[in-house]
Amino acid sequence: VEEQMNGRFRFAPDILRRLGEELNPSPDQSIVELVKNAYDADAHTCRVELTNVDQLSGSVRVSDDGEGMNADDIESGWLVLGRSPKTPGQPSTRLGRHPAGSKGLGRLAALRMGSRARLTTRPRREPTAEYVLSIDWHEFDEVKVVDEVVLPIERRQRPPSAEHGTEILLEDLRHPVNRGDVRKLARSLILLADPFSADPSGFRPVLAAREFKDLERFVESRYFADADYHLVAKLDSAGRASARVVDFKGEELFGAAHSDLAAKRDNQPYRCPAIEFDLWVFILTATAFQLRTSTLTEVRDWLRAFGGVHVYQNGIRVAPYGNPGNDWLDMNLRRVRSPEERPGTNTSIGRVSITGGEEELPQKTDRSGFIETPAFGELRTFAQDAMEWMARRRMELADARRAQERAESRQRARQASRGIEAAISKAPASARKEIEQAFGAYERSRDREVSQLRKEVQLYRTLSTAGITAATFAHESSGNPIKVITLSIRTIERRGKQELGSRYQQILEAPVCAILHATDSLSVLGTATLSLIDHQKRRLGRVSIHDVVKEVLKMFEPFLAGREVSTSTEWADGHPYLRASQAALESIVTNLLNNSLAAFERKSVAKRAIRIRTDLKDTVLVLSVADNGPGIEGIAVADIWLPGETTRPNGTGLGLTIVRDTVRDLGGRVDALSHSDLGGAEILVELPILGR
Amino acid sequence: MGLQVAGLAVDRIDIVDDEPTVRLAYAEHVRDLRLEPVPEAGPLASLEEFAGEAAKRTQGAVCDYQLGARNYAPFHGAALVAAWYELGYPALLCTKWEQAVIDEMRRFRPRIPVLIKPSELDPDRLVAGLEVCIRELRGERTSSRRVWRTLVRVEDVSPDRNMRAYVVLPAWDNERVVRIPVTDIPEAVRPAVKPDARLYAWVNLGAETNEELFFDRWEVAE
Repeated sequence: VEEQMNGRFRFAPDILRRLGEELNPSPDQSIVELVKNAYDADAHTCRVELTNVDQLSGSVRVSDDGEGMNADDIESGWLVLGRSPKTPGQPSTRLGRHPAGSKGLGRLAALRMGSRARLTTRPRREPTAEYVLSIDWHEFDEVKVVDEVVLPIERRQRPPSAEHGTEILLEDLRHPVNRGDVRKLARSLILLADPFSADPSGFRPVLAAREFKDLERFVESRYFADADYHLVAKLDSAGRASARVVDFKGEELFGAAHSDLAAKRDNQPYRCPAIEFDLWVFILTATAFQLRTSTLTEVRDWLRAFGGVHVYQNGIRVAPYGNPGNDWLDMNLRRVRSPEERPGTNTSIGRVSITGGEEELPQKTDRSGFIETPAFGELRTFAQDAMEWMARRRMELADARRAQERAESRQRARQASRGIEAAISKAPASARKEIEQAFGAYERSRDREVSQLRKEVQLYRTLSTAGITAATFAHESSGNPIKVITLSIRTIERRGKQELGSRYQQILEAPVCAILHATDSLSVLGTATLSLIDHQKRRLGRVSIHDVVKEVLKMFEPFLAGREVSTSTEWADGHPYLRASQAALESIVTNLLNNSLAAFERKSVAKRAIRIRTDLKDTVLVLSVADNGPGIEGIAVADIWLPGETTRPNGTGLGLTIVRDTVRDLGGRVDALSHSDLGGAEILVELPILGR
Repeated sequence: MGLQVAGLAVDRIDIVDDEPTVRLAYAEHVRDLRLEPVPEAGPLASLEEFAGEAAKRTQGAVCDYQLGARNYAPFHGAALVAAWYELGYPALLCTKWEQAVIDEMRRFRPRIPVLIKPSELDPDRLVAGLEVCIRELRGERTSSRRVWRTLVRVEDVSPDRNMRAYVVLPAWDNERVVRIPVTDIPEAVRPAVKPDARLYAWVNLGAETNEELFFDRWEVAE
């Protein structure tokens, strides 16, 4: 070595701009980072003042009553970027707080909000001293590397009335801060230190702005006691979960052990740090609020301002979870399915509190939440499982309530009946007999109607049971035996051809083909059953009518061939569609085809034919299903839609009723011709469409 | 006895199906190839254990999807064929499929080179299927299984317990909606799966049918 020189990394000033401006996405988030610094300095209050911030010359002042800093603290702490002051898992401040700031990067973003920044700080340990540091960002534009700019730290005599703490003044803002940002800042400050907790950390950030006062009053209103359900779910450090739900009186409604919550995951523990999850759920209806001291509007507004599930790590909020539009637990998505039993972000407020866990749950450098580590996934799963469990228990409750209502309605009917009899007895004797007879006739007809409805419900239940059983055994009943037959007959075919040569055709070909053909028809049974009950088909969405009809026809193909029925189709132009479930449209087409197939059993027809036709009349699609069977005979056309009306010995009389009811649900109407141009019945279904 | 399939000497074929008569029927196909069938009577051990043992004693397999109806195996056939794939062992998944099965199978499809219906299986197709598997295990994929990075547009997400995403792959077919369980998408990407979201994934765009499609390496489109 002839000579040794030392090199070191140095940074162009542009890196400050990029770090500062790209790592903190919005002004409110930047200011919150300064407030977190106040928390880390053990401040009890932190005041944020905004002056003319809607203009470029505006300023922001953030002052606290924390520990303050001396020259050494400023130089080796405050001015150092990228070094973490935290020791994971260990509180490290004098008051035992876990530092919430982020390696100085958030601070840099905040300081860069103005063209100039001024730090004035008075350390608690030096009661007469005050340190001042000024940063003029323009100076950095003049140099090549950052450390060419020297930042003098002045020590001064502290004014006698000044208490310890730190003040940061940002002047000549680079971008105006609009009212929306101020509102967001107010909300972020209020939510920062878990205001819902009964044991707040003793840290109260304040924003000197009207928006803040309004919101602050709001948060202090604390409508938690008005929640209909309060879910309290806990996860211990071993990943074992427990939960309970209490009502607004604080009485426990349901309780759950780990096995109730984690059954779906085979009771595996949740691999994430210890968590407490509280969710207050409100039923926002006028009836529910009749006997409350608060009003529905108050609670609704309060939830609009603070609703959602917020996350707190060591007592300090981690944004953006629970911000407007941030539905990190997919609550609104799940609510669509059953609004009654599931909370959404507008009908609930919640808090996930995490103690420790900085290593498993690190936050992103740009402060936009946690890095999506497996532990974070587990945290989310735990919260969702807890909500899912609560939804199921509430569903049970709703079921029990409905059963009770059914029982009570019978009793109420009997009471009403007795009331009318009592009233009739007071009527003049001349009119009494006539009224009694009229009422008796009314009661008998009502009883008949009720009895008919009960039978109808029972028939639906029986048919559902038949369907469920068919689906359960679809695999065994048609799957495996058919598989064996198909595979074996292929072997017979192959070996037959090999062994018999030309004699195969003469001896075996016909029966082998017959078996193959028969298994084709059989296999459709299982597929068709399973296809019809596919739960995704019950989902509402855009459904193409032609596609559904074609799919059902394809499914029916072997049945139709087996019954020697030919089909023809005539399609309207385009691809007409409507908003419905595929299951609804399938049940219309399936029942109409079943109806035609049943009709052929009643009459011998040389060439059985079904014609399906669609026509468009403005925004209405007419679906016609006609056959050349016997037509509608022995029953009035108007009566074919009635439940239980059937001309077949084993018919349920429900197929066409289901068609009518489904079509009505879709906003359409049905009609029938006893004899169409094909000779048999023609069913006409009119459906309003959304487009073509 | 024995065949050379894509350069690999094959003389024993493993047969996995929970129904004994089906196993016998498959065995006849194997015998007609002058190979020795090894029907697995069950109950089968854990997935890893069984996959490893079977791969040692046979050179290829035919496997059903539903293995749970008779307490035959604690896993389904798609998981088994995928585990074999990891071991470099060729296997055909032989099953009838409904939409629900396609959903369940999709995440294993990158590691299931051949899916065939029992009614389509014969000795010739068995050999052809094994050949496709062996070639893919060597890195020679058929055009319908080659993957490309492509845009995936989320049309809708069903909110029920078995959450499904309905997606369109404009580079595959702009008209067709493909249903995939949201749980198939890695957790890191899952929060972005919302109606109208744009994602990227590696997909076998040469697939002709919905059930052949599979997805891998998801990312959120910026």
